Amino acid sequence: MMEGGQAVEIQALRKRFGAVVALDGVSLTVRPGEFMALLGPSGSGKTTILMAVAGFERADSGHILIGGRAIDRLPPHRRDIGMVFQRYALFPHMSVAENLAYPLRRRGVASSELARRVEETLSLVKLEGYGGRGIDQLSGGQQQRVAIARALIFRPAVLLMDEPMSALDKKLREHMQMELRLLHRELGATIILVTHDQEEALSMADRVALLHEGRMRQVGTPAELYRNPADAFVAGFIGRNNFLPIADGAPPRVQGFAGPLGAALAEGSAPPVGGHLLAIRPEHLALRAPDAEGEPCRIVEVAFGGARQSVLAEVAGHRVTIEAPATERLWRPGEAASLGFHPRTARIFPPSDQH
Amino acid sequence: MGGMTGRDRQRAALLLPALLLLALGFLAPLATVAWTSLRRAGHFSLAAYAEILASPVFLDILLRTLWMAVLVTALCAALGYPFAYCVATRARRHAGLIMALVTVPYLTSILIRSYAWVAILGGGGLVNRTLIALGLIEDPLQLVFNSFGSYVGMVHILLPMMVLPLYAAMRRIDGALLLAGRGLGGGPMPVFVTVFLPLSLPGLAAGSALVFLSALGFYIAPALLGAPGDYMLAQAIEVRVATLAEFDVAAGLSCILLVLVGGFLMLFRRRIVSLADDPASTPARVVGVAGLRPACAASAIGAVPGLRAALNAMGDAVAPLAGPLLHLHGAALLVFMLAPMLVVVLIACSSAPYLTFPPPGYSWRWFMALLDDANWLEAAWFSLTVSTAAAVAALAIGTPFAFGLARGRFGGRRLLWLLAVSPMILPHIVIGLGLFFTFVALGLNGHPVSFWLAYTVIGLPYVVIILLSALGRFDVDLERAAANLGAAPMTAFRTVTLPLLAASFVTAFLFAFLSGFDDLIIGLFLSSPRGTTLAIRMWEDIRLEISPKTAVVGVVQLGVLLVAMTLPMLRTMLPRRRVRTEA
Amino acid sequence: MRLDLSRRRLLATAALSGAVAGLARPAIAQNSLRGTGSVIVHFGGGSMGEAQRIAYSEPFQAETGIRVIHQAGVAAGVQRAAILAGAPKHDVANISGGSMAAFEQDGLLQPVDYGYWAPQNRAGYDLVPASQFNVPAMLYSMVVAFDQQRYASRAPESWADLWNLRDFPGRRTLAAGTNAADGASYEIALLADGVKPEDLYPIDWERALRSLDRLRADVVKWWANGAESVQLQVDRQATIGSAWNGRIDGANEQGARIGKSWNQGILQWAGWAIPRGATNSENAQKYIAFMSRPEPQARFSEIITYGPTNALAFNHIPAERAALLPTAPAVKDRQIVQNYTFWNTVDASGQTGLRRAIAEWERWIAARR
Repeated sequence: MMEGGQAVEIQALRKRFGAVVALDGVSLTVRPGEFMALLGPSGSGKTTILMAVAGFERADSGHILIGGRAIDRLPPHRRDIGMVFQRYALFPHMSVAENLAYPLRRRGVASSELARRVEETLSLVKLEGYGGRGIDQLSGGQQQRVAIARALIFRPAVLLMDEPMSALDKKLREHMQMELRLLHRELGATIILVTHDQEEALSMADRVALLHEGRMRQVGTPAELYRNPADAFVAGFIGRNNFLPIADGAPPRVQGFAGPLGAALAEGSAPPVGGHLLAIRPEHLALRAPDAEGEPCRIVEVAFGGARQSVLAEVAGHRVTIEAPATERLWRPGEAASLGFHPRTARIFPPSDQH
Repeated sequence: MGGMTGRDRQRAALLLPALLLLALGFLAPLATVAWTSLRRAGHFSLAAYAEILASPVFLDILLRTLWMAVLVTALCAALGYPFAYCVATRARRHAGLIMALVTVPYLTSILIRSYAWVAILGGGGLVNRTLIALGLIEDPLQLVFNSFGSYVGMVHILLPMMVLPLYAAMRRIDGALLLAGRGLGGGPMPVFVTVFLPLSLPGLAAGSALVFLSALGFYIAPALLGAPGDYMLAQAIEVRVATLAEFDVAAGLSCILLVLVGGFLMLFRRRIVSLADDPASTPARVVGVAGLRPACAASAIGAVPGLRAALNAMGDAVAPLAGPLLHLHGAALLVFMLAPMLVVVLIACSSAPYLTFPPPGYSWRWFMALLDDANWLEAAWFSLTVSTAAAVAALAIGTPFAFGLARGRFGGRRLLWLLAVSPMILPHIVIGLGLFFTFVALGLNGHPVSFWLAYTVIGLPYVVIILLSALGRFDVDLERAAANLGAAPMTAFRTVTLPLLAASFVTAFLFAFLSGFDDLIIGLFLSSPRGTTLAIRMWEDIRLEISPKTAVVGVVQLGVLLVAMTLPMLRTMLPRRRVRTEA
Repeated sequence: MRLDLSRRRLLATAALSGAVAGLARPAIAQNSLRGTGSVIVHFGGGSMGEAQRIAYSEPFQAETGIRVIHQAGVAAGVQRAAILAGAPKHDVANISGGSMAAFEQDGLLQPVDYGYWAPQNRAGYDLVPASQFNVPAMLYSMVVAFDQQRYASRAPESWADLWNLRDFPGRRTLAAGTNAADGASYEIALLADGVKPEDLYPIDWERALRSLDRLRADVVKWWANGAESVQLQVDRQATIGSAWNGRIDGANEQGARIGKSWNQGILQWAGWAIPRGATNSENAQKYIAFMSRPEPQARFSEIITYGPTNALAFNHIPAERAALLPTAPAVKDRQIVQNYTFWNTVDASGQTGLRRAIAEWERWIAARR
């Protein structure tokens, strides 16, 4: 029902609120039909981008293009962009069907066509027969479906979603995430999803754009962001990571560690310099028997998780988390052990931009 | 305003019509008056202020006025809050009717209304006669012509100003939210304190502002029903203008009042009206959400375990009684509001040639007398037209003003708000004086347009206060959603904002209308053969003798109100435009 | 067409009332007041307005062809503001005697043109003269008003009786001090305290307030306006108090039974004047000249019991009606003409009597609250 998505180009967007810089020259290209997640902590500027695309905030400078056409001067009501609001913004004085019909009426759709499309869209979100209900008679999940249906019914080329899952409980959220993926595949629309929940972003989006303090830190597929974080902030924000300080001198080693880093460094990593940080994910650390090769460490705490165990260990005065398989050996607090790196997994970052 | 964005400039532009009106209809007259206060015998002089400040009496009157206004506000809040709560939560089906009945006190002239109170509370009045007949007392109680009478008269007429904004605020509190709060572990009492009360505060603030500011300008009710000591500043000012023609002292007193009350409002403005000060803040959504808010509320309750336990215990103890008590209170308050009107209806149907209660017999003679009087009918039509036109204008100008103030992020909004509500602070006789000079200078003397302008100015504060409180709790996302879905700004306003804030718009219109329709004092300044209001005709007639004819006017207005009320009821019976989703 | 109809109706009304029909012809013979256009005249409303319409406006319109536009009266301060702004409310204003002097002193009035008058009429203004800037419109008296049933055995006859709680028990009512001269409460308090009429002025404020102190506990209500003064008695909220004679008679005509005593009545008056800047001042002169004639004044006093200002009017008033009027020869000497000169004179404290009265009242109610 949607004629394929269109590209969204964001070019060097800048926006200030008084003394606060909300966007500091952000650029981003979303490909036609792509599901893009804007991820970042609160205050990172992701919502401001969404508001600028929807037309509710005007950027101080920069441009936004949809399908190659600049929309900077278009008022919100002429942008033809669907939007699902954080708390849905369903019109409480209208029924479900009237909510869905609202954008069609604004476009002068004939009433026979209108009723057909309302019906069709309700069935798309699996709410057949709910047209006559009032908004306050719906559950949270149903409200969200109505909000999505209302944003899709006028076949926009781009769909914006502002933290649409935040008001749902965990189980419903996971269910809706899956449904939304399916819907996206079915419709082929360009979707920009704003979220502060990295799991949501990683699991749903084709690509993720990570923002921090009004700047774009990295854009890439979820796997790229996870495996090749561009900087310490990305490395710390996406997934879990251990950060260990590098000592001065050669060969490079972690402060207090006996052995050199050697083959642990990933390709493309910055050259290790004193004061830099070494980032290594918990699953890339290995715990072995105390007499095996590696840095001697002591187990502080263990959390058992079925197939895996999370272990907090102390090594040379640093605390590190290790994600180990639970199939071989279960560790206990107080035990001595030896800590090793998986080869080519650790990365080095300059220290300043971690958080 | 350096960091103002284009959108904020647009929002600032929304203020322009109101600012233009205020410049012409308030600031210019005020400047005339202030100028007067600084001149004596043709020269610049601070003599008026020196006289005021040197006189201990003025300070006494000023403090007493402030005290009475505060007390009346507290009384109205204490009586009106449970009433509005009861209507909003327990009597929603009849809410329209009840809210209309609450405005009934406005339907009669202050003189006949006061007479009705004397008939009820006086030595031989209904209350005393009933109490004596029941054997509860032997000698009549002194219920009127003392401070009790003053407060009865003031609370009676000001209570609607408290109840209507409160009701409008409470109506928008979602029942699901309360249920959710209860589901998260709050009993009736904690849910009320942590969820309902905070959400209704903007209504309470708006109501308190309306009552307090109106009470400041009162004097007729205390003068007719109170003790001589219930002498308010507005009366001192009125006497100086009307009897002594000491315009400079009156103007000086008004300026002092304006500065004092203005300063007071600036200090507490944050509590009185919610303007979005923080750029990142979006007004909280109230409608249709069972999300984060109750969780916050529940955690707030949980934070103080002792308080929680105490509140729960209290709630449990009171809960079974709360319903009956609320209904009892509501019924009693309605009786209080309507009793004088009942007396007025009986007086209007009196067969007696003069005012007496209870009437010796009943007839239509006074209705006929009114219908026969072309002067009165003409004046009634004039009042109706001018006040309606003014209320429409006040709404048309005040709505964008309230929107600009609520949504814009530019400096000076406190001052702008104060400016818009100032016509309520200044006694009408001073506004009338200033307006008159301004209109004469503009060549509008005696022209019906001058009434229209004047009543728009005095109606504007009601619109601004009521709509700001409504917008403070309005979810901006709803308007954004409308725009996003393709609605141009005016369409979004018409299809989303207007229906959702309907109760507030109706309230604002009603008060704006009544402020003009009820006015006598400004009207006397503006009156001319081309423009004489009903209030002036009635005043002409009852200055020296109160005739039942004035009561008839009140009854006719009551009839009009009842007819106007049945119209929306009829409308709800008609089928609504709905999307037919049956296949 | 419409104008013709109303003219005919007016003429018919005039013809019905013999007095008016009889007076019109000689008046025209005296000096013609015919004219064109209109004149905006202060209108009293209620029964006073009715009397004005029947006795003055309708016959004037019929005789002169000048259209009379009735315009609601306004307080003195409002009228003053209007004149200062150059847009007076009326061509013929009605200003209370207490405020008139200030209007004259400040040059807010146009001189009365006595050329339109028959000479004997001006001479007829014996109690209060018709002066350069104003013509007294009517005389009325603030008198002791009381419940006739309650004091059937012995009627109160003086202000001292109002203070006499032993012989005349019951609740009192007096004008609030904010009414200043018009309320006459200061004069009343002094007379009750034994001050002789000739020693009333200048008012001894302290003595007056001390006198009011003694009555205070028994005053159920300090009345704010004329309507209230009588309504309190009709409703038996008060059984004795002060009230204007016309208000008492008005209530009695409608069935009330309020007694009054002319003794020590405070005679007051209101005057006609032409404001500076009035647009139809020539027609205003004619309207005032018309009202100076004894016949319409007599008609006026037949409808409402306010006294004619031209004594010649008594020639046209039946004796039984004349007895009800404050200016009737039999009663006028028992009353005291209020001294408006005092009320408008600046005293040692730099204030006029009017201003002092209000300031003293405000002080009094604050101190004894």
